[in-house]
Amino acid sequence: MEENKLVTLKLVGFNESENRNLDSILTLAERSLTRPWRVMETASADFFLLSASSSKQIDTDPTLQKLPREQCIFCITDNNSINENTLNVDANGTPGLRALVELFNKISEQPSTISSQNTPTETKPTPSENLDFFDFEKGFLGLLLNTKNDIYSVKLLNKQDYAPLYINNLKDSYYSHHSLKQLADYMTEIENLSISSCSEIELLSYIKSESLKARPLKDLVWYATLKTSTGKAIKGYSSTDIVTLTQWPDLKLPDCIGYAKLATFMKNNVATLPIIAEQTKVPLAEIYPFYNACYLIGLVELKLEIELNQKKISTDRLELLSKIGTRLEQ
Amino acid sequence: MNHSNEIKFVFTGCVGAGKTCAIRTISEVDPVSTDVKSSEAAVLKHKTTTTVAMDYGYITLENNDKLYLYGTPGQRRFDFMCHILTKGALGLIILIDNSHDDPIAELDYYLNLNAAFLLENPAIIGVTHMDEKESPEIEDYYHVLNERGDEWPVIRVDARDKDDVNILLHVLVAALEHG
Repeated sequence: MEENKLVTLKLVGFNESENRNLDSILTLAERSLTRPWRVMETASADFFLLSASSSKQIDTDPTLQKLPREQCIFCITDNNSINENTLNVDANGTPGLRALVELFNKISEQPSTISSQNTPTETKPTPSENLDFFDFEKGFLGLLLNTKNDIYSVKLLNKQDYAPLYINNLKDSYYSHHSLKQLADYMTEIENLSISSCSEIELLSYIKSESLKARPLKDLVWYATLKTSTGKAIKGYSSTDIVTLTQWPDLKLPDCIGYAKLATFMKNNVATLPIIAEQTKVPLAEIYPFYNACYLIGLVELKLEIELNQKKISTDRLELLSKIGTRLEQ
Repeated sequence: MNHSNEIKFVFTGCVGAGKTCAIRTISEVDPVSTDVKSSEAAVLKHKTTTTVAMDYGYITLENNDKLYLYGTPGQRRFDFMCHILTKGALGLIILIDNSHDDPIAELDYYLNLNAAFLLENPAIIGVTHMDEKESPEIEDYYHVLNERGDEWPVIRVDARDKDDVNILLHVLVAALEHG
């Protein structure tokens, strides 16, 4: 089967909240899936994912009976199903990420299931989809940025002692007992995440009982970007982009102080990233995560002309600053 | 004592903002502090003693060079010390007590007081006591700085925390190199 061919999925029998959960899970799963999956509203699709209740009615409901059985994936709440393509879900209808990835990867490799008519012709990656770019729409960051107007909790299935992370997109806030550094596990272990929608009342009750304070969602976006950029520039970036920082990032956030020099330069100058790398002697692979993070929280402004305001500093002064910097790092 | 030829940073800001504490946190030696019982009403509201001449500490660099850390008195009647101490300084750390009645006005005041120095040298703003009073927020300080046309970074700090004071100095060094 051709790689990168889109696999289409139609959801059957899920309510709005369950649909959102599945969307989130698919976003998280993207990085681990061997082929891209998309939920379609059309009548036909490569696969049909049936809710637990629809799965039970497959032999009795005339509409469901018409679905091609070999293309159906059945959600089940117990392990007693005789159907082959089954996906265990919790009481909220949400599947585990790992189970979903395993099943979806298995069935998308089966011959003859993927219809060529559902496969878009433009499957060749465009430059911005090149693997050399950091795709912020995938994984944990994709979950944060793509799930709008929603409140949900994120749990780490393999770490029972980790309290859930709550996200409130309506108030650009997150709630957690853990520090940003501790939340790094959520950002990198996406296969172990479980996502559930929750109501505002449930969230309020939780934050009251746990005495949690709202923390800015942009801090989480910032840190997740730094942790997951892996030295790549953000999708859509061009090396000819002339940029500047409109405001200072919060230099007290974890791992941010190492970017003080870069932040200062970018705040006071307007240049392309290659020029910034040359002027600051910071390698591009180190600049990209910082730039990506600033970009995603809205601190980057694109400009038309380069404007370097760098003042000349004597060698003696540079040596002195280097000595002070070295001493401060001890 | 001639302070103008030394390698030095100066901490300034209102009474109770944590200047003495910040220097004590990072200095290798117990800082020399010239504290006396407070007399100004505004000072008495915050603490019983206050710095009247200066605080002074240092950290040692390679080749035994010393980076001196000076703290200015917080009482307004000693503002003249600010001009003496900043002479020849590399940069200025302005500490603002967020629990002060009007911390934004305090920032304005210290930026004006040091306006001549800041024409040629960088500053960093450290906002303390945010655990006691969350408002104004860091964004509010940036708003004031933008209105003034100043571009100094603002960082929430705890003057008792060595890492926090280190961050202030680190960013000031970055501003000296690339500001």
